[in-house]
Amino acid sequence: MDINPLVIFMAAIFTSNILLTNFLGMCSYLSVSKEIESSAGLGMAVFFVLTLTSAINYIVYHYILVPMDLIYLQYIIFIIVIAAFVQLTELIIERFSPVLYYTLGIFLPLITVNCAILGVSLFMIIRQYSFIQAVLYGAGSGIGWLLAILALAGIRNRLKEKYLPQGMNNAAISLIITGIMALAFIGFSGVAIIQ
Amino acid sequence: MNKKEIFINGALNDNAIWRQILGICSALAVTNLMLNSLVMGLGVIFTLALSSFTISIIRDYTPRRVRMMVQTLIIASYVIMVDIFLKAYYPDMSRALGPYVGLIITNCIIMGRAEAFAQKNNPFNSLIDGVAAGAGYTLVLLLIALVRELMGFGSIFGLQILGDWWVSWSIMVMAPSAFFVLGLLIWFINYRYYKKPA
Amino acid sequence: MAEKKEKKSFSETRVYPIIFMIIVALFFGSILAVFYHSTTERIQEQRELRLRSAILALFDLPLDDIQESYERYIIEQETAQLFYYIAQADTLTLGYCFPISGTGLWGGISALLAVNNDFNEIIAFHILDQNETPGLGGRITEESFQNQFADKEFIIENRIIEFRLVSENEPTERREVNQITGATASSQAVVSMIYRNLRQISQLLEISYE
Repeated sequence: MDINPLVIFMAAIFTSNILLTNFLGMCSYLSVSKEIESSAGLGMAVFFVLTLTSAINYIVYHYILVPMDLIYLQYIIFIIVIAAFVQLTELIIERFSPVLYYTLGIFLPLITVNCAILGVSLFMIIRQYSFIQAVLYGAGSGIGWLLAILALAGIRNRLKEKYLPQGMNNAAISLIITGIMALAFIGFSGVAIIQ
Repeated sequence: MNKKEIFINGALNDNAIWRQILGICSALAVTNLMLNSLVMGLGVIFTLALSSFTISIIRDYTPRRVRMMVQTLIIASYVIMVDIFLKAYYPDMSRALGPYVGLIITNCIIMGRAEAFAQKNNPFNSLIDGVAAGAGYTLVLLLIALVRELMGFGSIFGLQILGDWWVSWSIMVMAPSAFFVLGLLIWFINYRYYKKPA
Repeated sequence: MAEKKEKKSFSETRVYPIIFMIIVALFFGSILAVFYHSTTERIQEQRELRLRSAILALFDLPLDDIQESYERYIIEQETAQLFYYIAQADTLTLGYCFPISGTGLWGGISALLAVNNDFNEIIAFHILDQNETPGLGGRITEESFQNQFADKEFIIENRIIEFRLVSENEPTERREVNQITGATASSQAVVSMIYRNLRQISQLLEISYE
């Protein structure tokens, strides 16, 4: 596919944000977004894991699964790669940087079950991206996810002291806010960034 | 607990409704059409029931340390079966659902039921619990799809219900409406069932 | 007693979890392999059937028995650079069908384009695969959008033209089509795809309009 990788990158952040248009990674998005600090930590961890697992899964898919005619096992293999990568990252970070481990490390186990990670790997295969397109798509989706959770955390922080109708706290109001955010992000599709 | 209680508990218990809504994220994208939601729901019921059943059978032999890996492996295997089945017999549906079939693996409900129920109960009860939790989940999916398809296309299961006078809301077909409908649904359930906060 | 103790200690050794994982993986792996290989043929058949019924539908040919109709009406033609289908009823040529592809907003779009004998009018157009945003660009597969290309002339003043997009619900002239609101990029992708492929095909088949 001859789509400019930068276009994919920008679109993954704004117009086709993985969370706001594909609903992926919502569980941790709703439960962690109470505090800005933890949202930033988780968002960064997602960005990091997403970028690298999309690269690894690309290589695994095209150089191992396709030649061996094992494409039907892709779901299992992808999730194992993701789980193993997350474990490895956790070990390395814990060993070499206690400060980073404090900000990122505690969120890493949450990431294996984040559907955005598996989703990006599946989308890049279906859309037949090249390696560079796949990596930039992964990175863009990570930044998009980070942006979305930060925005929600900021808004929720402001809402803390406000009066809300009964039963509307937490998930319900977060979803309505996310809906408005999704509308706003779709508005970006009018902007031609790179032609 | 008898079988009926397990079913009711799994499908309608307050806690389960709450959990089901959180686990819905991986399927929200297909809720703009009722048929897609139904097929997705059936896929989840199949995976949930059989993986609960299998995990329960081997629960006494599973080493604790690799428990999560074993569960993921089993869930992923059933998801792949659903995927292959759809590709072979309902290729159009498989195309419409795209990667979302694969994403059933990361659905929190399946892991949740495995941990909370199948790990502690006998295989048959786990099977019932799985079917029940899946049925409750499908119900939520269908409810959202009902609103979105009716207002977005004027139809239900592809059958045109509303006449020419109806101006379709194209926003209902697009992503933001799923957030709004789900948010309102959670609000309603909270309001109705959690009147007295704990 | 001694036997029981020994057995228990095995399940506590370090190897046990690994052996257990291997057994589970092998068990499910082999079930999946059997399941996959027993359905590959069917998946292939379904794919072929879908393509064939789409080709037949473009020319309004009977779809009761797809295999039989296909063998009766459609001839597959292959040249060095081009693969296409010819629809024929008895000795009368109904038209030509070309598999075409292009790039959309998100990924590839592949489609079938049927043109008439004189190679100046589109008979019908059908999108097979696309990856556009659901609800927005994804609406290019809707009948109302695709059917706009049916019976449209693409040769005007001896040249292949690119259709112009006008906004939805606006009346169109002969070189215009209605775009999808909110999905200009995907609509444009389809129009350009048709234009580029038609030019390429006409060059490869050495058709001139002078």
